Amino acid sequence: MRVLVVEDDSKIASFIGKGLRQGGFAVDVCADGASGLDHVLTVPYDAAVVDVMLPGVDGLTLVRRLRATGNRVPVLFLSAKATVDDRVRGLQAGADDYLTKPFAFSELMARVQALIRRASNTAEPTRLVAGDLSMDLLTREVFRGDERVELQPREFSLLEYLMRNAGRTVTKTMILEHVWDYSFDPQTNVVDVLVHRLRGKMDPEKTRLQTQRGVGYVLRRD
Amino acid sequence: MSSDATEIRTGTPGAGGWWFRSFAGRLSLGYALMSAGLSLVLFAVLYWLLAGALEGREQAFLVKKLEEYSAVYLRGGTLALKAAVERDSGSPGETSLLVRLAANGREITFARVPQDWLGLRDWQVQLPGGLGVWQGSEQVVRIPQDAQRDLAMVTRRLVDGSVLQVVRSTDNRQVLLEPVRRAFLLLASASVVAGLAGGALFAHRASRPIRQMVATAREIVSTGRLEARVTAMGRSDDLAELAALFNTVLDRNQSLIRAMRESLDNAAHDLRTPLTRMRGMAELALQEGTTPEQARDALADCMEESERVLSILRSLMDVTEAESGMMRLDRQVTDLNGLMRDVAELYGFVAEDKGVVVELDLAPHCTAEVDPARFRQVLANLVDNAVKYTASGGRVRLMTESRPEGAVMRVIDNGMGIPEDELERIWTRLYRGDKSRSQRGLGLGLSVVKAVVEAHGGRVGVTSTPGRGSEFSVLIPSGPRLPAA
Repeated sequence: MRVLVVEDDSKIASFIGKGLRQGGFAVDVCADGASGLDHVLTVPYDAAVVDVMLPGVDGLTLVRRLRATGNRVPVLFLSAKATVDDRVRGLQAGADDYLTKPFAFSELMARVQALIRRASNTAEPTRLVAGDLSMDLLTREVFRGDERVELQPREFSLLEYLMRNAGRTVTKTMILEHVWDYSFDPQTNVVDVLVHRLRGKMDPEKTRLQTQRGVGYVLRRD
Repeated sequence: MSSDATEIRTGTPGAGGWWFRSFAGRLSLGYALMSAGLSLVLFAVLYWLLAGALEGREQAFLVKKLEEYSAVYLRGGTLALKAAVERDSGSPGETSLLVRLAANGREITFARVPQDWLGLRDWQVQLPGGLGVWQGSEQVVRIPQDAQRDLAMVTRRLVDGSVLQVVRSTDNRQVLLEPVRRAFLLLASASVVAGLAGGALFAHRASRPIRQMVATAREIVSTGRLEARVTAMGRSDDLAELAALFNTVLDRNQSLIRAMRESLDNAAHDLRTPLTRMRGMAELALQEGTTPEQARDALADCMEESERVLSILRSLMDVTEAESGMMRLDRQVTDLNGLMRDVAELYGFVAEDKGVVVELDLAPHCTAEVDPARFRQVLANLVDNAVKYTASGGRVRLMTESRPEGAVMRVIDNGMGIPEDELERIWTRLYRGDKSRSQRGLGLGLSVVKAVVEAHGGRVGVTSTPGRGSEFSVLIPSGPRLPAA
């Protein structure tokens, strides 16, 4: 899997590059739009992470030109602008997803993986497994080993999301968006509470569902 | 907004330049030039018509005389002609008349002329080649005689071959029309002066709002005082409307700038605290002797603080956007009961953990035209507060109500309540009910609520009894209403 990162801020570019490489990707980094476009048109990438504000050719133009050539490589936009308008403009230009700065790296990772998955048209699984946990998405049953675990709908959604991303960190923002479809941050930590309840039902020993302080949660894969 | 604030320095230095630089000056100058040009054209046409008419009369008279004399001559010969000329010369209206007849090689002149008239300058009326051989066409010819007078002359060859000529002295056209020209010059210059003066006065008065706007804008630019406004005028024309709109734009700008300044102040204030903590924690962790465990902890703390900074920034942006009227609202008919249920569900586990019961008390079919995402946030903030400030065993009740004036949503708790002297201040950004700040974010949360509701044209309200609980209400007026400017 090869990912192109087009980002002019060298620190941000380096931490994205480093993180993606640790996640098993081959990464190329470009600091401006023109060379970014050059790369993406000549090298077969699996995904591109493009900053909207770039010197010279900006991200919107880059993606527009890229799409004009018929290239369908999935693109994730990074932007410091958070308004709905900016998001819409980015998606209209032909990007596939949009992430606002500052962001958690795990969220970027999850989105890049989702983009690649979507592009490669992997069939939706009907059964998720992580270690001794298994989840049947059709009957909506959850088992720990042979023991059935009763979950409420939100707890089920949370576990499903964690299992789909097993082995990867998910942030509170990601959970809020996927489990509740909320895009703002409620002040009291409703996510903590839900995670706590879920843990009580399926992982009282706190060995499987781990808290990464300051970042989010991760469900162990094995 | 005093009137003297806007009246200063209306005139610009250099009186001569004023005419060209000021709108009123150019207007009145152009007006005067145009009226002068128009009257000149009018005069030229009039003059031409008048001169033409005079000429026509002169010609008609001469031709009539010629007809008369030729008839007399043809009927009665030279003697009869002489008698007719003498009779005419005797009439008091005739001042000058010269009739010449060339027949059979002889030339006879009958005339009544003043002494100074033809005299020796006979050649003036001489025809080329002499009367006897004249072959020209019959038409009136004008011959300048002296400065004042012309000779008008008409000649005809009669059927018997003789040539008859009638000549009259007449006032020169220039002389004749001199009084007309003089009168015009006088009148035209008077009207140009009057037009210039009147136009200047009129334009000066009409362009007063423009000058006031210029003065106001200049004052704002030079002093930076945003309070300056154009003084209201008792008029209702488009310039007055422009001035009113100008004031509205200034109002809008002022409130925007004020909101920006305030939010900048607030941002600086609110951000300083978490940034100080971050800095402190990082500094501590960088000191020698820190174990990797401690460093990890410090980094995690920093992450949490940075989340806080981000959330404060987001709230500040929301409040600023909503208060300045820049917030884009995606208004649609929204089921408020659905929103209430969503939010109750969101906080369900939190409340359950805390031992607080969340109850729903919903009126059937309670809808309003709002931005659902924004209102979900409004409700979440209110419920968040209610749950946060209600002790275990307490209740939080979420109510909707359809009233004639609009839809009402209430969040009622039986928690700690708010002291009366603080009720007004809870909506301001920096207020926190909990002085120790162990519960974060109340001030911003409520200011977001107020700003978003007011951006929808609605109202927020609160009643509270310390120790017994609080009731927050949100009214969304029914029917479309513009958000308060």
